[in-house]
Amino acid sequence: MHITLYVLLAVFACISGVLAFFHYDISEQAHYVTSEQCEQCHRTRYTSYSAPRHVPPGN
Amino acid sequence: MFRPVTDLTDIQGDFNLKTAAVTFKKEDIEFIIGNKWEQVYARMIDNEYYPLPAKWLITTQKWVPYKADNWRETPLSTNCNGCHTTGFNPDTYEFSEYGIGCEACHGPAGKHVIQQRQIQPGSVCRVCHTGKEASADKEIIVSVNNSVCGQCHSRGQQSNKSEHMQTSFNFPVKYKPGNSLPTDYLMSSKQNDHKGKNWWAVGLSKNRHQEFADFSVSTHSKSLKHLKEKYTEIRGELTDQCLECHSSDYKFSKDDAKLTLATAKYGISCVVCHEPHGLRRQFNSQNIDAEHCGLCHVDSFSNKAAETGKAHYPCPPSAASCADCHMPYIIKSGGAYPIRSHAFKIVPPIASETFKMPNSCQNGGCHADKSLDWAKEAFAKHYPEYSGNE
Repeated sequence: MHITLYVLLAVFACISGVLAFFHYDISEQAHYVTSEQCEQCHRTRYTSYSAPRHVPPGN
Repeated sequence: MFRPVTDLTDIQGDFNLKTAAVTFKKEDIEFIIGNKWEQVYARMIDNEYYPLPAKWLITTQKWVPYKADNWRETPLSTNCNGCHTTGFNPDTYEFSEYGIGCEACHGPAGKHVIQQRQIQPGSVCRVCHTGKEASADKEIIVSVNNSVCGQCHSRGQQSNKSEHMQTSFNFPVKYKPGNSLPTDYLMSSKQNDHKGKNWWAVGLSKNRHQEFADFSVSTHSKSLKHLKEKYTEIRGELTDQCLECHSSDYKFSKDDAKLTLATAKYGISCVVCHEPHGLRRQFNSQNIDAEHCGLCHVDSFSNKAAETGKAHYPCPPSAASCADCHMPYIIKSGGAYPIRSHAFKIVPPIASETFKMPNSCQNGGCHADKSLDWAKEAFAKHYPEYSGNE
């Protein structure tokens, strides 16, 4: 019984460690990335948007 | 936009122009804010951004003192960064990027990015994480609510209480795009502008980045409310089609999910005229003509004119646009009045005499060469029925 519990705890700690290592946010709190991240999929829109003046190029 | 100096040519201020206000060298500038109307320059001291004591007015090409005596009391974190950065945290003063990035209007995208990576076709993660598209889409906010633009195109103050202290910010804090502005965000208005710095006596904006407040008093912003409350059958049956001109969320809803009179939430909003992604606007703001406004204002251009036999205005359409009269250049920036009002009110020449303010006829450049008396007389002659509500 105790051994099973320890094994489960160890597995949980390993998973948490791996997630933390890869900066994986498991919390529900929303967090910001950057416009560059958005650009990876939304390039046309980003280019159109950033060109006039709102976002510094390469920021 | 707010950005670190990476190239000295970004600095538009003319350092060959000798003036007492400029007590710093070009090389002292670490950060720049603005590149259209004026440029404010900043430096970092003890992990805080502070303005340098002179700013460059781009429109008039001159230097003026800026916070010269109280720069220490004007840290950018509490005065500017909420609108000139993205993801500003009022507790830590940290932000995710300089300038107004995608997430300033669409909300934090961290979860969306993670979820999209998980569902990439062929991804090993997809074995477990299927069906994530719907939940990911919910994270990204796409809203036509004016408050999204209004969070920064307004002036005001809001307090933020953190663990250690209560701080006042010159912008809304912890605003979530799509929502209305926080109720404790005290927006500048004619009523609380005791020094007359931001508002003309007639109740129209005098200072820049107040478009949201100006627009909020216009009938455009009340277009859906008025449709629902004031509609009379003289115009025929009230149908969902009326929303094409009266509701922005109807106008932009997809054909297979069109809103109705019961479900539409917003009247005319900023995005009806301004394409928010930049280069391609809904129409070119420098050339606002009857073809655009006339799509909805049919009465002004055809019906009423046919009934009365009088043209809507006496000025030649090739020379004057709707905006020239209804969105006059009365907003101060960079030492001049280069910005249009967003309250959609005509300012007659008599207002220049009474309230010492610019007017629709002369300050857009149309009749700048004529005297105020000429403009008053011409206006009275052409608009004898002017009531002040136009």
